[in-house]
Amino acid sequence: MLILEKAKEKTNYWIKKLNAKKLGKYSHFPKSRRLRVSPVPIQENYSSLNLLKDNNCDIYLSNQIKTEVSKVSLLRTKNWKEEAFPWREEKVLYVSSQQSLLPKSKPRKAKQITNRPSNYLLRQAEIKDTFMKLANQWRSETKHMSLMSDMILHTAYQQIIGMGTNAVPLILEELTREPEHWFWALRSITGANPIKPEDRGRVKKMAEAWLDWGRQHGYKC
Amino acid sequence: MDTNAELEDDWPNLAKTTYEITSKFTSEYNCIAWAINNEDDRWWSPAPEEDYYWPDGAPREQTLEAFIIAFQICGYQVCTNAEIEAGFEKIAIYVKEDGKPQHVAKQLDDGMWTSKLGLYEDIKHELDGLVGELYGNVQQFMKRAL
Repeated sequence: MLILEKAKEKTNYWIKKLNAKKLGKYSHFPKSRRLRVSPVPIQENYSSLNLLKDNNCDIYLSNQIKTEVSKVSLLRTKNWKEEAFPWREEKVLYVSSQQSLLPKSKPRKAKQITNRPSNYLLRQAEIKDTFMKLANQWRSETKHMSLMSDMILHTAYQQIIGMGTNAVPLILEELTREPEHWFWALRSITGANPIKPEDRGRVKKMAEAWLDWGRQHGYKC
Repeated sequence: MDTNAELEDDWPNLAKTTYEITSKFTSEYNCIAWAINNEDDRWWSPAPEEDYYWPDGAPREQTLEAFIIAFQICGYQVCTNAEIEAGFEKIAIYVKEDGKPQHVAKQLDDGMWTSKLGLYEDIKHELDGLVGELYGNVQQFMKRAL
């Protein structure tokens, strides 16, 4: 049988290699061994350890000597060091395969390369959407008001304050377009008050002061 | 909806009286600044924090008393009617049922009134034009020597 011949050949190769190199990590490996080679059919996704166990073999050899054999041999020789079997023939399992018999790692999912936005961007878009709805509601329902005490108590304005620091970049963005009355909200959220006393009530200068504050604190505005 | 329709929607009495729009839409000043001839476009408001302008010495509260004190600091005195008085300019304070002032209008030479309507435009109007749900009724007149 071609496979059996190949197996014997491989086994001899392995023994010669071990005897010749005498590497430290193989030093406990038995020098003279009685080996019986048993070719087995190949099954995919079947680990070499299970092959040994199921076929009642001690050593696993394959044509993929740099992978499975070295790993399994090392594993087995660790056991031999503690528990030698000089009285019985060691059984060698030889497998010839083009495919690895080690458990295959799960194929990695290909990275999404579509333009699907990340969760972070989706969350930011939701926050902006909420903010814009509230801001438009506030504008629409307070257009007639002249006194800030009424404007800042509006439900939508209070909800924007409730958005916390998420609202700050959006408010600053609005201020770059139109100097509206976002000052109370900014002050409530950030605790800062960059408006100079002499500029109180001067809406354009108040907006500029807050935009300067935003730039100093890393906001794009 | 055009501007007139929007205004009449908010102040239905405007449609029943004479009025005209006299400025562009702006958020840079409010009715109080407009009424007392504030020339540097400030937003006056007795808001509790000092972000907005309010005369020093006047209580920062939305009450008629606080408004009267604020206007007295600016040279006004209380008066009882909307009649034109030579040598004086007059203002009218609109107050809602809850006692909170909502708006201030200024009298023009011809007896009509001028107002900055929140964030809307300035208008020339009759006093009754702004009476209603949003601004309440005129409860106080004040005058200042020209």
